[in-house]
Amino acid sequence: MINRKPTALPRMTATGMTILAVIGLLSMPAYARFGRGGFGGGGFGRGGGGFRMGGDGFAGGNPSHTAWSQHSGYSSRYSSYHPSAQYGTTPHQSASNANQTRYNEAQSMNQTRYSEAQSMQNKHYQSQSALSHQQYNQASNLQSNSSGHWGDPYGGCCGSSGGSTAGAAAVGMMGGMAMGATMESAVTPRQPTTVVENVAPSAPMPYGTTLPYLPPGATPTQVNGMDCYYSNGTYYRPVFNGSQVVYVASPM
Amino acid sequence: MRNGPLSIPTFQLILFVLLLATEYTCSQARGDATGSGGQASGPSAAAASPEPSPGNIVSPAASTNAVPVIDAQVRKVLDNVCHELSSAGTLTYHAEITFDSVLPSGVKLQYAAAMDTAIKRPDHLAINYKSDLGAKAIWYDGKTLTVYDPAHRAYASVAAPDSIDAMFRQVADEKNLSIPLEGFDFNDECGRAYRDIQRGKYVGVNDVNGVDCDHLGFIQQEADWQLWVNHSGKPLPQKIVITYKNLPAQPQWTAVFSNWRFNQNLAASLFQPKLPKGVVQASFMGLEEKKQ
Repeated sequence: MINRKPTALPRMTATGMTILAVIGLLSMPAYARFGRGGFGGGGFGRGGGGFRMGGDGFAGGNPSHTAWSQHSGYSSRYSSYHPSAQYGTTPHQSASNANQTRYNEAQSMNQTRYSEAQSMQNKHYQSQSALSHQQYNQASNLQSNSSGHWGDPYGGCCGSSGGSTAGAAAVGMMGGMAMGATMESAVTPRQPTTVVENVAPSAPMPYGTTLPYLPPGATPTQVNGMDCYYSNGTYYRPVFNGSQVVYVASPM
Repeated sequence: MRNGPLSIPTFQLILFVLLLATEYTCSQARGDATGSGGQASGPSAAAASPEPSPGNIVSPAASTNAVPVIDAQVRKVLDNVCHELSSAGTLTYHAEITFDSVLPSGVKLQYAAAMDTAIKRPDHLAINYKSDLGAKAIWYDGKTLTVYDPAHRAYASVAAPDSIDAMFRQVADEKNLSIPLEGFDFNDECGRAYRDIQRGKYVGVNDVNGVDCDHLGFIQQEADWQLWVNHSGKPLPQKIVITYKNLPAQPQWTAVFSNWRFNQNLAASLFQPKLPKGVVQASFMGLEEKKQ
């Protein structure tokens, strides 16, 4: 009898909560309620694999045949371009290579930088104009920028892009080095530059290992009439995986 | 007793309502996944109504066995394009391309490329492709297909059948080699195009670089694509956008076409490999090698 007073408030609270819960649930799109799609699924929050159209976009342009490369870990043996996916080995080799795995993981960052550097170097080799250089440098820098600001494993740190600095960067690349840039540098042309030197593998790679680019210092040679490259005790055979060139460590 | 903030019946009522709401949302989600009236997600399937309206493409059932649903107007435009391109003895065109690169974090970057294609039907093809991230050249002379990668200074050649169509099929099946825009290069283009289309919708007359175009939308299993074709005059493609809807962040590959030229005299040397000195001969990775 004494405790009968406060009955209206709990009822109103319960009714209000119910209404709010129902409205809240029904007003959200289904995919958002269940964590599919939306900003987190297709966008920045996704921690899964990254995709390129075969590295240079050549594998795109065909709705019926997707030959994109995925760089999302160490399991994809022949995925191209992204270093983190390049050091896969054949099963009989991988079992005995715990050290190699550790090396691979440690090398991943350097290899990333090397890949970017090699891209720029190759771009320099084939470039038709200074403009294309600048465009590439800017694009490459932007890609590196993503590491600092969006949590990508790309090894960019700080650098610059655009104008004469881009040209200087391209010259620097010729020595097998890489650089990145902060996002701000796209707006502010002059920023401190950091150069990261790449290191070649210190031990022979297991046969079947594929790399998207040659290790630094690899030299062209011929074995039994076949073109290949030699670096640190390993022969690398160039192979087209679809439209993308990869280098396979081979006994030759 | 009503000492707490919620009585047991009220709490049960809330649970009941929540269960109902959950069931409703689950059914919505299932409908979304199967395309049975649920709200489609993604830019390529943006309609909620089961009855499509112009510019509003509804994703078909996920089954690949579904009968293609293609608007009559779409068929007409596409047939005209096919006839125009496949009936030309020789054909050259230029494409300005942009393509997305999705980083592991999900950040999407866009790069550019340019591609020049020359076709001499039925068995000659040459492609020169240069992008921000690399380059390729392809020569096919009815006997041999050669692919050259200038960045890697490597090339590979493979014996090929004596028609463009058969060559495309062989290199796709055996070498996992996909040629950009090969749909425009086939001798029998329409047969190929219709093979994979699940749904084709006429979107409307829309602009590409100041030119009125018939805007078509297509849904396929792996990718959705849009095609813009001259609304008047020769039915030539002006633009294509391919959305790889099953890949994270749904990257797109876009090409804007120009310099369509037909029945010109194309020198035989155009289809012969032009390899610089010092390039390295590579091989194609075989299917067996891939499976290892």
